[in-house]
This record gives sequence, structure tokens and C-alpha cells, in this order.
Amino acid sequence: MPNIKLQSSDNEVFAVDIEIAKCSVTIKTMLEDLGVDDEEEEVVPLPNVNSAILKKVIQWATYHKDDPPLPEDDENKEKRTDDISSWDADFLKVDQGTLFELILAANYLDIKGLLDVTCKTVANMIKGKTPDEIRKTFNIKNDFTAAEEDQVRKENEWCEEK
Amino acid sequence: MSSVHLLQLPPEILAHIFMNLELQDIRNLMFSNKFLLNIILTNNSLWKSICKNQLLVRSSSDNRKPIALSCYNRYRISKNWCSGVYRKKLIIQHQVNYMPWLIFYDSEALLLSEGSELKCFPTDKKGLPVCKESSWKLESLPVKRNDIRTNDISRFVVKDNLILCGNRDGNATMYKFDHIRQKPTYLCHIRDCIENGLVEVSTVEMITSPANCYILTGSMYSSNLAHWKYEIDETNSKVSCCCKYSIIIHRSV
Repeated sequence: MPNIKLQSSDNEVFAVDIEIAKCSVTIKTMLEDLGVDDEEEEVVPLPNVNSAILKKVIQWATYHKDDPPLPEDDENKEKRTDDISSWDADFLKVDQGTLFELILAANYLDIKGLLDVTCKTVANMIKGKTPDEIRKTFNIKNDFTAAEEDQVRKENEWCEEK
Repeated sequence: MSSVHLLQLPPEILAHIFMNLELQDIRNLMFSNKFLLNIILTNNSLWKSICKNQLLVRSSSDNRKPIALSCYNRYRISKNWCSGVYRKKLIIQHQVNYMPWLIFYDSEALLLSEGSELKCFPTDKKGLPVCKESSWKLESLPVKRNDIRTNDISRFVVKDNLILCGNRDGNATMYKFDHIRQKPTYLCHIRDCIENGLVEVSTVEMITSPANCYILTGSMYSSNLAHWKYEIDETNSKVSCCCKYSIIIHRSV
């Protein structure tokens, strides 16, 4: 299988099977638009992704290379966040910073499967938590004054499940 | 290596994350931080995803007023509508022209005057009066004078198991009221309350302390207030009334 060379922001070059690299819509479109010759040893620069994250992305794409294509987003699809495979769950046992960088990379490279699973992982970190627990989890500051907090709560009383 | 923080993610990615959440979690996120609150309030696709398969009011049906409601507000209005915040309930449709008087008695019953009748409607579990059928109905005494149009009840008060009605025929009536399920019993009739009974009794009040049992009757057509003393004879369930004096109200012109 022909390889493609991907260069991270910190100038590390990774040789990747071209079929695996094409799970990124960004790379796929670029290759198609530019008509890059398979013979040529061209290096594709990815200035938004560092080597640690790129390594993780390649690892994920390699594992998922034979996955069937994702179904189109269905408006009426039930929201689920408990359908993360155990391999993905293990793969995403990383610190928060890495998880967010993976999200940014998946968004930039347009890898829908990876973006979905990373976003679901973050959603699971929010689920069932009180505002205070959310702040603790993500190290967010409570920037409401007592009066503002009162106001926001009052205005959004309608959100309470009946 | 600098670590990326949740709040550093672009808004569209945050929205993508939050689309996986239910309303309860979104609510908790809104309360956690101003930046997140703002992202959530202004993201229409997020709210569209939350209110999937639920009623969503239209932004505006009036084309001349292109005020676009945000999805958040449209969903808020829809949800309030569904939970009955704006639901009005018609409990009674009365048939008389004369404006009736009503009292919500101890939250247990609605006492309502309709014409010459005084009706009692006990409340249900939710505290709403059930107006299909009254538990009892009082009829004020028929008019015996020719110069008075009706015997409608203008005003009534309920105090210490007594009901005092002021009527349009210039009289007042007192009833003993023990229980909302039991029809009050007639106690006494006070004739010709003000101006020799030529004007209606449009306001009544009772003072029911053991030492002082007084009634005040007044009319919107007179500057006199009549002050009555009454005594209840417990054994006979009878009341005797006599007019003590009348107070003249000085009205400012």
C-alpha cells in the first residue's frame, strides 16, 4: 500500500497508509483536489496538530480503518452517549488537555467518527453533575455574582423536568 | 506543553459536545459559568437538537415584524405552554348582567353571588373550585317593594360562621354558616338599611368579637354609614338587630 507523509506542527514526519490517511476528509479532499501523485514523496504539513496528538489520531484511524462508513446524521436519532466501544473508551483514557486537543484535531482534519466519540466522552463527563461539580471537573470559575446567579436560575426555572 | 481548557474550545465544538446532553444537564451547564451560559443561549442548533420531536413555536407569524426569536426562547415558550404556565381555565360562566361578588373561603370553597343567589362551590384537590354543581344555594328574600328593581346580592362578607349579605333592595340578611357542605340557615333580615331602604346596600362589614357585635352597612348612593349592634341568641338561633347610630361620611368634592 502506498504511503503518505504527514508532518506535525513540531516537524515530526509520519508515514501513513494513504487509505488510513483518507479517513480525514480534509486530507482526502486535498489529495483529490491537488491530484497528488502516489509515486511522489510529498510531505503534507499539518500545522494545527502536534506530534503527540497526530500519533494518537493515526493510532485511532488505523484501528478503525475497516469500519463501515458512518450513517448520515439523522434528525430523529436518539441521543446516546453509552455506545462508545471499549477500545475507544480505553483509547480515550487520557488527560483532559489531550482529549480537547484530540477534539480540535478531529475537527480540523474532519474525522467525524473521532469527533463524535471524543465529544460524547466529554458529554459523559458533564452528565448528571451539578453546576458546582461541573466547575470542579473542568476547572471553570464561577463568574456569577450571587444576584446574577439568582436571576439566571429564576429565568430558567422552566428547564426543570416535571 | 500548554494544556487546552474546555472554555478554549470553539463555540461550534462546544455545541457539538452539548448536543449529546439532555435539558437537565444543559441547565446545569448554564448555571456553571457566564461564558458557557452565553454560548448555550445563543446557539440555535443546540436548542433545535434539545427540543427534537417536541412542540416548538414559530419564530413569528407576522411577516411585518421580523423579530427573530432565538431557538432558546422559542423552546422556553413552548415548554411553558406544555406545562400549563399559560393555560387559562374557565371555571364558571355566569349568566347575569349584574357584576357578582365572590370570596374564596379558606381555599376550601368559592362563594359566589349571582343575581339574587349565593352559591358555594367546594374546591378539588388542585384547589380549583368545581363549578358544575354548587354544594348549596341561597336565595335572598323576594322583593316586596315596588320602587326597588331587584333583590340581587351586591356584596357579602363571611366571618366567624356568619354570612352577611347586602342587597340591592336596600336590605341586609344574615345567615349562620357552619360548613361548606351545609346550607347556611337564615338568622335575620335587616330592613331598610340606608336612606329608609331607598338605596342599595353596596358594602357590608361585621365586627364579631364577643364583646362587640356590630354591623356596618353602606351604599355607593349615600354618604351615610349605618352602624348596627346585633345579639345572637344561641338557644333559638335568632339574631336581634337595632340601629345604634349612623355615621356621616364627608366626601371630598
